[in-house]
Amino acid sequence: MFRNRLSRRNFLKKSSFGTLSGVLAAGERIPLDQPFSSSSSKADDVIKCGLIGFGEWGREIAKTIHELEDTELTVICDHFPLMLRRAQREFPQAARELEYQKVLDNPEIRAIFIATPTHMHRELVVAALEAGKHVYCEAPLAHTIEDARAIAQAAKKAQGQIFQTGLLYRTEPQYRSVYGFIRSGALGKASMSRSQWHYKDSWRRASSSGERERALNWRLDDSISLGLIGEVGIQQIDTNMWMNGTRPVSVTGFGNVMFWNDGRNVADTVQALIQFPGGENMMFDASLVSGFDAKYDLYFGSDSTIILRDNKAWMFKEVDAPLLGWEVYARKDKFYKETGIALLANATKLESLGQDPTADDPNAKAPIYHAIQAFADNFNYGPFEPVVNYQVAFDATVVAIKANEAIRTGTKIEFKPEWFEI
Amino acid sequence: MQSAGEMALREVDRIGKRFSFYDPASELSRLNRQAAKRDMVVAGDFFELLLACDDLHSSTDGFFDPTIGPLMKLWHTSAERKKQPTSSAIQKALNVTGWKHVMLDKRNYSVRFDKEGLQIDLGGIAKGWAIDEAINILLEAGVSHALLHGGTSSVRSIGVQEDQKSWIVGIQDPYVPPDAAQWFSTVSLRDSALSVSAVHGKSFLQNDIEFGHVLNPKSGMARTGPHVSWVTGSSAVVCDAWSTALLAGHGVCSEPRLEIACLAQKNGTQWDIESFKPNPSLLSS
Repeated sequence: MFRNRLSRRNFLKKSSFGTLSGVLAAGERIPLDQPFSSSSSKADDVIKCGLIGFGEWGREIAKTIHELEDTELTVICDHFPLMLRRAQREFPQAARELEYQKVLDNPEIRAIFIATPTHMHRELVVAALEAGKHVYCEAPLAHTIEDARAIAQAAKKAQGQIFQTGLLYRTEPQYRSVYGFIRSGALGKASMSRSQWHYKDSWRRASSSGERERALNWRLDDSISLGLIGEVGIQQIDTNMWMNGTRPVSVTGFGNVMFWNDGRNVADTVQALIQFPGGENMMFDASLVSGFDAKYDLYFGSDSTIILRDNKAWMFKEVDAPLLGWEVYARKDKFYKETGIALLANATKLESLGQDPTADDPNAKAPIYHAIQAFADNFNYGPFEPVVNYQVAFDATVVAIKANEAIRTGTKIEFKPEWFEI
Repeated sequence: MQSAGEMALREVDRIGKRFSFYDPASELSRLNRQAAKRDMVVAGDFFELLLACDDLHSSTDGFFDPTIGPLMKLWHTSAERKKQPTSSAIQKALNVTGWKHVMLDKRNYSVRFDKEGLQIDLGGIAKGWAIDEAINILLEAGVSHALLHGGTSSVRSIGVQEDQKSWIVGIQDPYVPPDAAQWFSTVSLRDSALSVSAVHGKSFLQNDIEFGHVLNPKSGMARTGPHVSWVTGSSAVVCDAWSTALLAGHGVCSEPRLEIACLAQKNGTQWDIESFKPNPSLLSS
């Protein structure tokens, strides 16, 4: 059996904090003066975790595992010795391994976090699941539908083992709060959505070793990279699929190397139009050329438009939209000519705790924190179906793979149902 | 080269977020909120930075002290009012400062404060730390000639310029407009760092006395008058701490990790430079 039995520590924690799904969905703040102490310091109460891949994102995952009370960063694996030297410095308590099999062979390690380049996921995920581990695999699942399907099949077969993917916004409290708004009809008749991801960066990485440099620049290798839409845009595409409650029917894409003319074929600027069955199409663009306005998601409707940016959200109501009541008391922020009603998860509760809901939340966590906490909660209090299970991850990955194909060919691709079969 | 620079600057940005005193969600802020209540285990590199603070607090005889956050806040408020704080307010702030109240446990990388209200502010050293980390990334990427600067106060070089000449950096007179490009001293950098601290810049005037932002951790008073300190050495972290310590009032410097250590005071149009290293002497510009 791979589930952690409900220890006294976890039982008390569960009782005192109420239902976890409620806490997660409401994004409840813990009062500032409440210490984060557990009632037990027993070593076997924490989930011993192995991390495979200590690149830039792997470091963030490592930091989060280290920070969480429920998890212990027990071992870090990377096949590049320099990364392990960095790992030793940042997480000296964690063991270090060059070979991932040693991590999988360690019976103490219950959970594996995979943060390697996308094209390496299949081998690692399948091996980890076959070794009986609970697995958190970064998104996208894979760079080909065949590999993604193999991962999904392995996850489906591994009954009793958690498989969660790094699609972050389905576990992020503010997004979950907005999800509730949107699904309850706050937009009115949804008409369309627009998302962007802008960050000025070459995406190119440097190393003193030529071999290492080639490996580091996998995202610029069009034979294995899913480009901007696959490696980054998948997050926002999945969010849209979640908000819509359905898969898209087609994708049309464009992409060009507009600025980083260093011999690459992977576009540094992309646009995609993703069609949904009801016509609420998603426009997405991503750029490594301009960082203007960074990242946001906009959902348009006949009664209101909602924007999600960082961990904040605002609603812009149409003048003829019905009154919701609570909006009279809500904080309003000016955006050029528009006035947005701040959608603060659990604002009323915050005020009752003596906290100013308009102030920056000192306990605000990055989406990765909530994602890994959800994984840990499933381990401790489950089993329950992860909100980002293998089916969700597979669907999003297929859409991302085909969107990248559309961008590379400048064409429209209609999705075939059989592509989504596991 | 572009990509190496991007990687280095991303690391600087990452460090800035992790150790921000003003961001309530940063690792430092979390430590400041919790460490008086319980032992806080921090990441290895964060602990390393705190050990560096410990070492530099000791080597500067306490003139570098990252726990003067309450004093900094007090003087920041004073600067807005353009009025120095009262002695009782200073004493009250001093009562919740003192690096001696920071307990570092090397066995498990944990930190604890034994005084309520204590706050660590890494502003006096984090820039140097970030520069050192960024330099490491550039070196790992194979960069052999570089000059990395963090604004007007901290800079570090890798090697020399491509024509084999050392990097020459001017110490600017902070009392003339920046575009006048006047410097009263220069340093030559070759695989070394420079840190400069000055009263002018973040200062306020009261009764014709200029109060700066660098504070004496022992008296709680801000350094006054037209003073500039600068030091060079192999590590930007060590240089940051020492330029602050010299300006804060430390009157001696025999730190072996420094090559140059100077404190200058402007008299009229002339700068009188006291050199602690390499040899104690008084120079004029």
